[in-house]
Amino acid sequence: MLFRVDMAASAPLFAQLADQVRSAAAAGELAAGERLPAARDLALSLQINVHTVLRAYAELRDEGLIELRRGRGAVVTARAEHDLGALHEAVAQLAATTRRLGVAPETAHALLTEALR
Amino acid sequence: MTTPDTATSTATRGRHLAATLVGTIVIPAAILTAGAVLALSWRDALPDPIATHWGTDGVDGVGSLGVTVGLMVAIVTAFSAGMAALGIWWGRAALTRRLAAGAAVWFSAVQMGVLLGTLTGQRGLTDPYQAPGLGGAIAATFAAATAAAIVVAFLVPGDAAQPAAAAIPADAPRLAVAATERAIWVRRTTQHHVGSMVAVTAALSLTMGTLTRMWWLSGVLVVGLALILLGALRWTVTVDAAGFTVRSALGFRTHVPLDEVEGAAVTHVAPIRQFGGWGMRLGAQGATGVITRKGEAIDVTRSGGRRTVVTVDDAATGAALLNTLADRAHR
Repeated sequence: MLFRVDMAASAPLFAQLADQVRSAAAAGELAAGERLPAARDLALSLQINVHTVLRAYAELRDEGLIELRRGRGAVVTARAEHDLGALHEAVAQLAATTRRLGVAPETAHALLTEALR
Repeated sequence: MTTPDTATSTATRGRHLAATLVGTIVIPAAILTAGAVLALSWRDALPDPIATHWGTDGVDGVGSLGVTVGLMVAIVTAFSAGMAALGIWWGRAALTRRLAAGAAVWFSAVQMGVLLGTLTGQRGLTDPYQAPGLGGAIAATFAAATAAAIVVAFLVPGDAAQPAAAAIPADAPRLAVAATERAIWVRRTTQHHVGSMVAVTAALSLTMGTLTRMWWLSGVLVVGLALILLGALRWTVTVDAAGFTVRSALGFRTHVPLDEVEGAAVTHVAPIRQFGGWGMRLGAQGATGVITRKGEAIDVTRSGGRRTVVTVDDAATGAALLNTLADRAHR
């Protein structure tokens, strides 16, 4: 899968990484049992601190998306595979409505964050 | 007129040619000569004919020492010549030259080891049917030959740095990555058809060994089996700031630095037709490949007329990111 960190973005790097794993799992790009790259390798390649990656992985583990096993690294759990088709549809609708009304993406983000609180 | 560039690449090519000749001809010929001379020097102590084939109940085939050694010399020479040709004509990539040299050394060492292994137990015998079994000698031979082949393959010099001469084509796929972003694409790929690959090779070598009663012939087929097993079962494909990297759990590795990438595209691989099978392979015109299945693959065009093809899912994302990062590196 594709990992990317934007050094200029306001979101913390660990949150950016965790988000990408969440959306990849939701989009069905990550199958149960699949292994994420070792934290050390990922940190080295993206030239970020290994603790940043570990923090992202710890957060995903707490959400039950991955399991952290000694020697085996981060493994995607069966729970991550849940059928999120309905959610996808709703998100697509949200995006379409946002565009139709000419609302700034930031406003839509803020509304969604508020609604999920 | 010779420009500094061509002078360098001529010197590089000379070094590559020398290494290829040493690995595919000189070392195998030395092993072959030593083995053949030693075998023939035992002539007086050996039965005539000698035992040449073992069945489940012991020796079941005999032949003349001269013919056995002669066949062995002929087949090792032919194989070495083939590997030399491969390294010379198609050896633009270090991997090709390494595989050619390693295979040539492995093959001559196995053939000589098996020859000497079968003969040493027959010294002092008059009846070839009394010759002892071969298990230990063959196991030791395979282990020694494999170790020798790996050492030789590692000693073959790698490719000199050779930055891409051309920019990535404008119409090649790209990924939207901001200048402030760092990105990595990682994907695992697993060998398909492992069971059937082993079964087919084993069945073939058994059948031929039994039918022809020539034990060396089944040895030849085992080469195929070993090559398949050498290509490890699981690979990790990575595209990042370091370039394009394919790594197996066993440590086999193919790497294309970013500044040597001339373009990446998605292609469709037919394993048998294009690469003659699965695993770490050589394809037409010296293309190197890690082929785990048929279907979509990343096709990386590399400087110096080299090409690397790796079968992997979601090849489109990997190829697009590689082009995007290579753009940055060329700048």
